[in-house]
Amino acid sequence: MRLLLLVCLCFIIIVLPSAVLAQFSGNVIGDNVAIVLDPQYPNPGDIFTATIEDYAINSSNATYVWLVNGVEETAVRGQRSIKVKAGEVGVPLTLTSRLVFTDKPTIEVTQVITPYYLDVIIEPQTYVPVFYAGRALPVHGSLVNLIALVHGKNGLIDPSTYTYSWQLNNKSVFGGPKKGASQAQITVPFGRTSLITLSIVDQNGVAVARRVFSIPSVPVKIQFYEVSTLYGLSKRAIGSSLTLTGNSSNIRAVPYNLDTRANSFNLFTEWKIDSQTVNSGDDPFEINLARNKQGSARVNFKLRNVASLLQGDEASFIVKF
Amino acid sequence: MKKTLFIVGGIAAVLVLFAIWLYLLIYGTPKPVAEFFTDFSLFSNTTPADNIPSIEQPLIDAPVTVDVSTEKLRQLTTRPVAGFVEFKESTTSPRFIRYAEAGTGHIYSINLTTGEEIRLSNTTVPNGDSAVFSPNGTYVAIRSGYGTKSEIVLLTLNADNTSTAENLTPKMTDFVFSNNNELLYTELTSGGTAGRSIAPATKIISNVFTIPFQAVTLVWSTNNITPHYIYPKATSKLMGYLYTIRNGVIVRQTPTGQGLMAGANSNILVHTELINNTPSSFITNLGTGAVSPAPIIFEPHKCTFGKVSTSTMYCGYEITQYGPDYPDAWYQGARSFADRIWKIDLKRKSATQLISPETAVGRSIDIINMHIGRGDKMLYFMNKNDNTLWLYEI
Repeated sequence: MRLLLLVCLCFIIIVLPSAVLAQFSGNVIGDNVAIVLDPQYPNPGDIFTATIEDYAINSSNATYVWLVNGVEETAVRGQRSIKVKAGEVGVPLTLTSRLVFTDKPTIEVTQVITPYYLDVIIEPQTYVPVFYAGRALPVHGSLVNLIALVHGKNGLIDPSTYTYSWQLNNKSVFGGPKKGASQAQITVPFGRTSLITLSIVDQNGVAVARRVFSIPSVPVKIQFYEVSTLYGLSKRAIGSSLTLTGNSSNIRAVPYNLDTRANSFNLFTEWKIDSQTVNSGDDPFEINLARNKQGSARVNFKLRNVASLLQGDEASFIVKF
Repeated sequence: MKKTLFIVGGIAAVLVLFAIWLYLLIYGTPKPVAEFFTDFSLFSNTTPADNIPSIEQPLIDAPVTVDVSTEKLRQLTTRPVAGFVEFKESTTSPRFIRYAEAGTGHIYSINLTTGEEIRLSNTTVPNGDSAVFSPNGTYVAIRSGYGTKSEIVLLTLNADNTSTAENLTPKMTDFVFSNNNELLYTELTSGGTAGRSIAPATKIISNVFTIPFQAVTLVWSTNNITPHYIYPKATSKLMGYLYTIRNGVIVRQTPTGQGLMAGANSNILVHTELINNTPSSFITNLGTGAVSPAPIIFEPHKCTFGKVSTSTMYCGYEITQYGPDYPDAWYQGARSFADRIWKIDLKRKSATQLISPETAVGRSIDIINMHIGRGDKMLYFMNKNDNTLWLYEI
């Protein structure tokens, strides 16, 4: 029971704040009122919601007036929330909200929204074969390169003009904001996902953009492929079974998403045929299967990175001969 | 007291069992592992020799005749193919298909009128894995080896059915010939990826662009008119973003999403992204910016744009559930499709089935490397299941 309570407490302390942070919203305070945007930093051309937040004052008899780039949007007069389309990349949009009272002065708040594309390219430093057209994926304990690209009107903006603040699960990657740090490297922690927060400010300390996103942690995945001595590697993975048509066949085990830092001193490999350990030869990832009678057998391959015990996989298939 | 002893004993037993399990997990049946680092010896035995052996062999192959005239859908090779090109010396001369055999890098030519097949190259490129041909039919660039040490061999085909081979020094990650017969390629750098071109005759290298990341897929422009399109390599688990590169400047395009992949011609952009864990494709009119849902799931390896009609696209596509692990499982070869061939009207956003290979010839074809021939007369593609070359007469 105590353990259960402890787990619940940890969940409340650790997980909930992360979820809440992912739902951030921005505001500009002006005389106890603010404009709140959702999303806080819209992409160019995005439709975003602007809401006047005036709970700190008595606005029961106020009329809401909205101006976009100084021109009143008469269709939304009186509405607390409106939909606005962000401008083109790098083009500022001035959004003004007025609370017009009959018995006291008008309150006005203005926010300038300059949309930029902020992309974060995630490059896991894990293994995939050359023929694989997709991207490698992060596994626990592996390195991941994060590259932030901010796009202005004329292409990519020079990162040296900005200050970057990277956070992994709410802990700063560099110990604090760092000028020009458009790239960061993290080690994938425990858990199925990790939360990355990136905030960027310009030379004047004005927030340019902010992104909160998660990166997954996947297991190592072994796939088997036939290797022809003449024609090379088959691009089609062996599924649950393989029918041996010739007298022998070379089989290669390919460990997708294994940490690229793994080496001969920290990799354990093992081939088994019908639960009997067999020697594979010089190459620990390849085995030759030779027919000697009719029947079938289960071929099993086990891989583990002893430097990071959660990096490993075991897979098998039936060979029919 | 007895209860305490019982608990302590139980904990001790559990610890002993855990220690045994941990020992077996780590050490199991120890096996010496040869020196391998990063590449895990994967394909280490398939990497080319220091100097690619341009193994010249006498041309002893007797001419083979390929059946080229019976059906609209025809299998052109029984050999696995690394790359191919349609070749026509003049407007009046017959069509040929030139292809590089996977594994050996031997070059063959099939006369699509008579069906005669001849071998053009007497040079063996060990572990030839992928190949591209120059439009003038003179040059072939072949990747030799499957590992990180793979190299690019440039074959020059001579008129007397001989060839010369030389290693290209750049470590190319992706390569294609442009319309003016220059080899465009990418190379990894410390800061990301560099796009360059090399003139086959002079070997003069020119810088084309730089990209600040490495895991990139390129949709090459081969005509110097349309821009290059780039996006991070597609995976269902991570976000992708689309960019154009024109005159070296990277410009962000609107499409974004997990599993993002794209293709374009001068008028139309087609892209796929995961929406609610299901791949969905969209057609963007580059003139108006209008975006419409596509009638099929677009995958760049399975589709080609028409050359005569720029509002037409041809694709291999199976009507099935694609699932949340697409395209990863397909890229790994863990999943295969039984494609039908479709003609897509990009203006009307409609798809017309041209043929179902399973119905027509009883073969399941997982289409890759879809290309269209001159005059939009022929579709050429490979079957990923066995890398054989096929033709469909439109």
